[in-house]
Amino acid sequence: MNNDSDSVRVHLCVNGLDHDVLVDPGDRLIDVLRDDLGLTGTKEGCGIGVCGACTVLINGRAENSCLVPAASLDGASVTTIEGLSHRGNLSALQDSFLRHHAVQCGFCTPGLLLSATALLDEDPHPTEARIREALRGNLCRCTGYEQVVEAILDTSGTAVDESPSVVVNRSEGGEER
Amino acid sequence: MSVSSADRKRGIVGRSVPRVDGREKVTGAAAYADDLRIPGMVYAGCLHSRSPHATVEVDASAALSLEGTLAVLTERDFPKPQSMYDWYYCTSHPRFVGDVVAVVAARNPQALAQALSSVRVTYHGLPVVSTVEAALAADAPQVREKGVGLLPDGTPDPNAPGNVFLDSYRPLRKGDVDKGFSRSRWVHEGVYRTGYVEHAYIEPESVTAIPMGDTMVIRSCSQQGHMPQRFVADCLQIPMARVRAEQCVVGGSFGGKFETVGLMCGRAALVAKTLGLPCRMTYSREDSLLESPKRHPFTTRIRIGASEDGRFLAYEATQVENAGAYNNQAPWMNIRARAHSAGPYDIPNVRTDTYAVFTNNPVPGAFRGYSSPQVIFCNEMAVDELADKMGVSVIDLKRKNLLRQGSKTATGQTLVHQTLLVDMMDDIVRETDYRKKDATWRSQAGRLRRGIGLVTSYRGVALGGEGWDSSGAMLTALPDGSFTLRAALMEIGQGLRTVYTQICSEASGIASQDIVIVDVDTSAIPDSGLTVASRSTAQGGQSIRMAGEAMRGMLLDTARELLEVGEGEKVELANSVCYVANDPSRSVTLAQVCEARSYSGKPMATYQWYRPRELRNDDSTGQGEAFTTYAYGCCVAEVTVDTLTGKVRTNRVSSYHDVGKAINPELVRGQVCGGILMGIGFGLTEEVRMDRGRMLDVNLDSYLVPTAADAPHIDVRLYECDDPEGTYGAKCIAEAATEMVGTAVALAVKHAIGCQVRQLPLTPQRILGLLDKQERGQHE
Amino acid sequence: MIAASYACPNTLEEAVAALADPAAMVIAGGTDLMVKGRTRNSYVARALVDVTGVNEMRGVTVHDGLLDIGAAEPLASLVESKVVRSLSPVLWQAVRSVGGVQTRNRATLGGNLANACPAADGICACVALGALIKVVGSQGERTIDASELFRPCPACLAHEGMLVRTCLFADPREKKTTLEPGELIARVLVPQRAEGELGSYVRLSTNRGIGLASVTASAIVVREQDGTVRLARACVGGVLPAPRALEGSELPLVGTKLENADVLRCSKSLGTIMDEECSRLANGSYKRRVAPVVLGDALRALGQEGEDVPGVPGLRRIAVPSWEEDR
Repeated sequence: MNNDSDSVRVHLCVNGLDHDVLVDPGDRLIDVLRDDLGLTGTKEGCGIGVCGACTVLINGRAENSCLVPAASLDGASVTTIEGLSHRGNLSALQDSFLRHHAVQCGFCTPGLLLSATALLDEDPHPTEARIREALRGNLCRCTGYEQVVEAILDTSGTAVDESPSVVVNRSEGGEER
Repeated sequence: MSVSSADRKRGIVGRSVPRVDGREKVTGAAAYADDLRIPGMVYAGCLHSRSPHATVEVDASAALSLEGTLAVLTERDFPKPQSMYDWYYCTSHPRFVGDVVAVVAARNPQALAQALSSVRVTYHGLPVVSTVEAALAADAPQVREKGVGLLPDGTPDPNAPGNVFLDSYRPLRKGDVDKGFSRSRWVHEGVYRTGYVEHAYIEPESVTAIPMGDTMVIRSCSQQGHMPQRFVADCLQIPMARVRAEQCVVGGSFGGKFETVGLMCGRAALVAKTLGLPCRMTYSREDSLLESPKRHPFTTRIRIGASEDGRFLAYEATQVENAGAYNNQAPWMNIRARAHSAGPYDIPNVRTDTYAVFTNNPVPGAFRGYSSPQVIFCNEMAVDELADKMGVSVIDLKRKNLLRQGSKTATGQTLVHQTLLVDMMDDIVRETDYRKKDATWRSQAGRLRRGIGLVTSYRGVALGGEGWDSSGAMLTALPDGSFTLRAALMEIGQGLRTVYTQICSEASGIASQDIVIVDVDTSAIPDSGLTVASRSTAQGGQSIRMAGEAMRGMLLDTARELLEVGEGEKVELANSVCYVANDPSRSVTLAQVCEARSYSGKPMATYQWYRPRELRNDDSTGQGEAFTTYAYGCCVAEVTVDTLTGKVRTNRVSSYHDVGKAINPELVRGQVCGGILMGIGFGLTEEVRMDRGRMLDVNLDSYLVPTAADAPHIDVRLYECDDPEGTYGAKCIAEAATEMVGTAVALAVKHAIGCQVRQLPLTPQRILGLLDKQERGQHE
Repeated sequence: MIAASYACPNTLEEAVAALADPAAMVIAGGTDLMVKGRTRNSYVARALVDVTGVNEMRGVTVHDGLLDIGAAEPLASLVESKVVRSLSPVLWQAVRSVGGVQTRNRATLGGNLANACPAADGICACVALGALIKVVGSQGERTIDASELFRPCPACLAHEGMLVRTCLFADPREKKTTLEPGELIARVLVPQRAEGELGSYVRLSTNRGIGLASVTASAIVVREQDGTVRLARACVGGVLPAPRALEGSELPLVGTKLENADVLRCSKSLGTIMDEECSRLANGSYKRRVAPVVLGDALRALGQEGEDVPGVPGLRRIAVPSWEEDR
């Protein structure tokens, strides 16, 4: 805490729970979430709003929590990755990410899930191009985004081939399955 | 619980089961290193050098006068400032901009930021060697005392001072190269270059050191579960037995979270020991880019000779890497770089020299491929240019020279197992319509031009001759019929926990949901070597399989007693149920079996160690059995180049891989897709630019990794074959997935614009430069 | 980030009053400011005044042939606005190009202008469109041309990549804009698209990441029945010391039929301007090479080589075969 600054009291609704937090003027939302509220599912990857790992929903919209001053959020409603599942039940999108192997190291996954959640809230049946455009602000270094896009398409009701890997077995005479 | 016939027949190996750690990762529950919250924890950070080469004086008084500052440690506070891996924990003589000149601890992150910016450092500049060329110049300052010079024949001279890293020198000598060239009708020679490439895992480094009694407990994002133990013991000069390292969920590594994370563990442990408090050290992205290792930049001179009809007769190469200021990786990496230096071709006469050179630049380390992306770029570009010179299709040229079953590799090893390379190339040429596109796009005139490029590759599976491909695993039965499985190789996002669960289940008959893989913990399982070289499934899986088989035997013994079977009766174990083979109605569950074994005087656990057969290699010639077996790959990329802006769009990438056996095909496909995007970055945009030793790209706003919108159409095909070397026939994929892609993209650009491509990445600026050069050439 | 205080006024009067403090500084979405304040202690002594809650700075209305946009309106709401899309398709296209979804949900048009980065998408479009800026301070309000908002900044040109992270100006108002102390941008007034007006917005970046473009170009033309250009104006971002409208002799299009030779003449003219004004431009040889191409693309989109963007009347783009088709 900086002694020369005036703290700001902020009322926040995070994942449906009300919180009154005292923040310093420049404090970032991500630090309030992780340090004050213990919601460590929100990740910091770059600190400058280009990787999207810290994406949360503010009043339903995806934003980079590393660039949001917590003091600006009085009365806001915030959804983090911890708020996507309810009593242990995964959201359809979370379940789809699991089934489609859209997760590898998992560090970008919370941000991707929140960006995708916001997209589907706005447009329940996005085209693949729209999905990719919506994910431009979320960097993933593991998956190549392919299975991520498939998981989102599947959730939106677009048919996705369940087992796209073509495996050719040369030992058994070139059989494809 | 009953056993269906399907359960008995259908194994779990080969099925795309969901990740076992997927649920915690989609809910945000997964605990990464920076997610731990420990009461009383202090926060530490590192002050990196502003100069690439200097001696420094650190004045901590202003920082220490701030209320929240707890400590400022400099070189003299470290019992052993230089680590066992050459890099420094802390130094007053920084040799690159990632060197740490002070370690600062404070009460909270805000106070830490203030304290770090209040430390005053005075720099006394020293001469900077900023390129490989400068390092090899006759009058170059010596970056490291251990650097040596070169003899007139281009090999290192151990007796002359210089900047060549002698330990990294790996010669390869096969046949008689001079004779080969003298018989060659076609000879091509060229120099090829690659740059510094950043891993850019999305999780920046984080470590926590927790003093607990006489033991220092470390929880970190290390790619190697055991390495923090060594680093901390080394840094504090205490017995390794007094250090306990525990794994956290790792947010990507790709070879990168090793040295820097180890050094951070040492530094954080010293802070923790000094203050007697738990210490967290988490890097910003800028810290990460400054200090973390990168992909070794290569400068490779290649000479290749072919007969009139296109048989490769001779191959000569000098592969020179920028080693940066410190290096412990090049000696090992160069074993691989040497073995693959002549590419996937059957060439009777090969002479290559591979070595690294010290500079005042960032320190490269292991990075997905471990030299192969660079070697493939240089080699495949040279082969393509040779085909241009000969006026033949590179496909036809490759067909004459590619390795086949029975061929001898550059190391003189005969390929005894199935070798699918030519078949795979034929498939990919057909499926991508390569020949038609190659012909149609060869002479385009417009602003936008399309191009196609094809790469063939072979990759030595796992460590091979680089080291012992051993591994250990411990499987423990619990009285309720659940099991814990411990391995020392690490889940770093690649899906190892899932694959190990599948292998263990397949080998033992224990249902996969009854197996829980426990975090790597140095106090609970011995070191099994590094999670590197795409070895963890093929070789690391062997000990898992052995543990599963051993446990199966133990469980069946008890089941036979419980089922009171006769001598001739066979008992099976599947899906956690033991049953009489010819009378499945007589069965016991593993819960019953384990309960019966518990406190019965019988062991409940098995520890199995896998030791592969020994590979013999002659280091003076590089001849021998470099790897137990090889994985083969073909990749085709198609691009569009805007010749007025230099911008490239990758439209389609087809990637075909011989994986031996896909234990979990969707996990394999995930590796391939991720590898493709990383490869596109290597080919087009990714380079950490250096200016006289200073780093220009320290965050992801200027270091550009591909986004979802940059991704091309992707076609993946996996091949399986009979290969007895790896676990259930598995070979490797993690590195194979990315090593070809950048070069395929570069070849496609070359094809589109008709210019020789000698350097990666192909940024828009570089492409316009190539087009300029071409235009000037036409005008001259 | 560390700042001295944080106020959230609800009215323009309160905001202006808060800005009377010499330490005060406007923060809108904060997507630039929070980056600049991250590693340097730029704002330790600054009293931040968050204007996103100021009623008079929100909303989009139409009057007197002007699209009247609240400076604190998030870019995303402009992208979603049918009014913005139909009355100023060029502005719509430009704000769509800013960052990623997360940035657009936070960032504002006023902030994009006030941050005064030469490569900012919103600036390029506003200048080309001849937008007006309504500035409010303790002395009252004034309305200026968008191009009058900016002061020449050679330092920005020499700034490699023009990255926010390494931006030299913690408070851009002081050196890069003509705003007086205590003044803020309250609203942006964009002339609504005239009958027959065609416009384009083109952006060149290395990949499809969300970073700043290296060069942007925006252009509008109005043509006579016979195709003769009656009015033409353009702006090129990321290359000139101060954003300004290119027209008249700097964009010799009026009276032409907007044919290839005419476009080439404009590109050449930009080259001449750059040779005179951009000697310190970082990555200069590349930008010198491609900026005329990007301007050319923006202009050609308005002619025969261009096509209508489906669903956005008045917005044109170059019909580029096989470039985008695969995704």
